[in-house]
Amino acid sequence: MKVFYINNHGGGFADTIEIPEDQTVGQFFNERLPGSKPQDYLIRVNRLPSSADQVLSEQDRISISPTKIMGAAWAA
Amino acid sequence: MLRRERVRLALSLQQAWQQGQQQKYDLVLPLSTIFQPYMKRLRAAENTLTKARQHGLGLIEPLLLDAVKSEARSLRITLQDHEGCHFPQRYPFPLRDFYRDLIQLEEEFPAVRVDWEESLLIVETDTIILEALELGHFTMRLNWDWWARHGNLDCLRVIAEEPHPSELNDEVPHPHVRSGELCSGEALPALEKSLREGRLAEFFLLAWAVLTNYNPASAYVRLDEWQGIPCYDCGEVINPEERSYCERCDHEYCSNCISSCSGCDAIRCHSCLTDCSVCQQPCCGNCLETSAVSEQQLCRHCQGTCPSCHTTIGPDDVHAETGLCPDCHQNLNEENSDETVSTAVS
Repeated sequence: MKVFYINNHGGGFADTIEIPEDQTVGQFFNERLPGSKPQDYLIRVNRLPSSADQVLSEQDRISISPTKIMGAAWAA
Repeated sequence: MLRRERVRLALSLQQAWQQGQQQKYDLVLPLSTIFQPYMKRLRAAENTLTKARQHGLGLIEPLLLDAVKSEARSLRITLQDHEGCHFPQRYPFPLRDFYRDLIQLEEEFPAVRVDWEESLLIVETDTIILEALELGHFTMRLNWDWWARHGNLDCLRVIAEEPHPSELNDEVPHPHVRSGELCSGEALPALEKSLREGRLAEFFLLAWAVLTNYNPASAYVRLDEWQGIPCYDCGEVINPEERSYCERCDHEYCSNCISSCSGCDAIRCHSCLTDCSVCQQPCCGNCLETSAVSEQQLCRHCQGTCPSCHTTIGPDDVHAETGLCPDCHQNLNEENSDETVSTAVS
């Protein structure tokens, strides 16, 4: 099934992707950001907070934004 | 925010975003302009080859054929290079997405409001506390007119609503904000992308993430210096421009409590300088020497050397007649008196 995935980590990624049926948010996160801690990210499904065991549905909008991100003293 | 106002705001944001998108398209040169010179060179190479064939110049034909192939290859490579980046992608972003982003912002942040006169979408943050230092709450202000015209991060201003600015610079209310400008560091690519694609909820969440994190390696003012650094001597808070460092004792001082060695100009605090016993000028340890005769500390200008024993002596230690140190002068006197005695005896 297709979902719209927004990853705000690094350069940012936003596109429709194909995922297996009945995939949970936790599985999706581990697959997309292996080795990362979910508590370091804001995970929103259809703009709402979600639990790790929430099952994703067709056309869902999943956004993952880092909460630990380093600012600087000058623009890059 | 009332529903009607939210709809109106969503509409304004969508229009600004579409205007920015259109400008991006208008700026793109037609592909034909880019490829024209390559086409011209290819045509010229083909014409030369055709003429050579017409005149039966068989020997040169392979060379001219290679030239045609080379020009065709250049054209193909240029086409491929431009294929991926030349056409800006159109992101469909209907009004309902802007509307939903506004609702999400209202759920994620304490307050969202709008300044119609200034074209500002204002998102208020919670109180920000970094390393136990309370910086107060901020507003993140997106100017959608600027966003439409320029599309860059300058459309965002971050304003401290209850400023607790750094003692060292009152333009810095946050380690990564100066004069309202957020320096986004590693968030910059994602912030720009979300702005470009009109995803405002993500944009503000990322900006918020920058505000709630502290990068001591790259801060306008480090949090451990937020309250200023006290002068090690008098305790007065000093800003970086007025701060001086004493290399000997490894402390920082204000301009009143620091001086320099009159001999070598080394910067030293008052405790690390000693006045020359003769001229009273302050000197560092390297430029002072103790007289071999008295306890006097002598700077390089006031140091003298006994011509006989070569020890360091001060001007007061030199005998006026002989110019020797007291010991050498005494020895000389004894030698002279011995000689007088022996002369008298002989």
